[in-house]
Amino acid sequence: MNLLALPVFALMGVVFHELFVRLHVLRDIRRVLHIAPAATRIIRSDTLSDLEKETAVRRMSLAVLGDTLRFTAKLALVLGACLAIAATAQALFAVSPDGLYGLLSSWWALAALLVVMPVYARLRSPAPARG
Amino acid sequence: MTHPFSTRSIPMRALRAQALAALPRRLLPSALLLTLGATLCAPAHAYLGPGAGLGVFGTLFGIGAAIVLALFGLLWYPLKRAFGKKAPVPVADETRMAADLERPDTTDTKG
Repeated sequence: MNLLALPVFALMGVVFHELFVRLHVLRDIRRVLHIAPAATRIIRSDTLSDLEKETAVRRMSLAVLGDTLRFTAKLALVLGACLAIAATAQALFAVSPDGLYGLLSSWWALAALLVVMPVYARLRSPAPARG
Repeated sequence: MTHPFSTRSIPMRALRAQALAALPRRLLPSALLLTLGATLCAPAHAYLGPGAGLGVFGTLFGIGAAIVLALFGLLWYPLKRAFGKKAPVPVADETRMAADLERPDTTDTKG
């Protein structure tokens, strides 16, 4: 494994973090996860009529589907960007002798991303001062 | 004195000991199969990282939730409305009044 792999993985980590935060992927995931308890509350509600429940549940179903497709597309974009960086680096500099799959599934990649991403996230938004 | 239906009357400790003793015999075939499968498989180059794993989980959850909600909205409530019990129709006020008029008056205290 070439030493050039380390800056490549660091760049991948930074790009992943930036896109993940700027595209609000986490907000979409949270919205999808919050729909389930809300739908359960509506279905079990004693105050709503069946017609109101039917309308609300249909609307929620469409909302869940839309949110799911949106966050899947965003996540695919984020992962595709990281993959593009790795593929470009591999094509230009032959970073790993095992090809792109070998580069992505190496322990270096995991270790570098595990170190770079938390450090970058901390540097980008430092913790509020205590006291 | 122990109640006849109390769970304390069941010798739980003996049952647990028997189950624990039988566990290795039951697990042995599964463990052998798992080991064989793990040794014989070829590298798949199919590493699923936390990002993709989160995405797959979220997508499956979202699609599943959408399908369940759509089933409720498109099937359950319309079918319930079509085949469910109808609410009892309230008796019209006139009918109730007519029934009251036909009933003999028992509140008369004159005689």
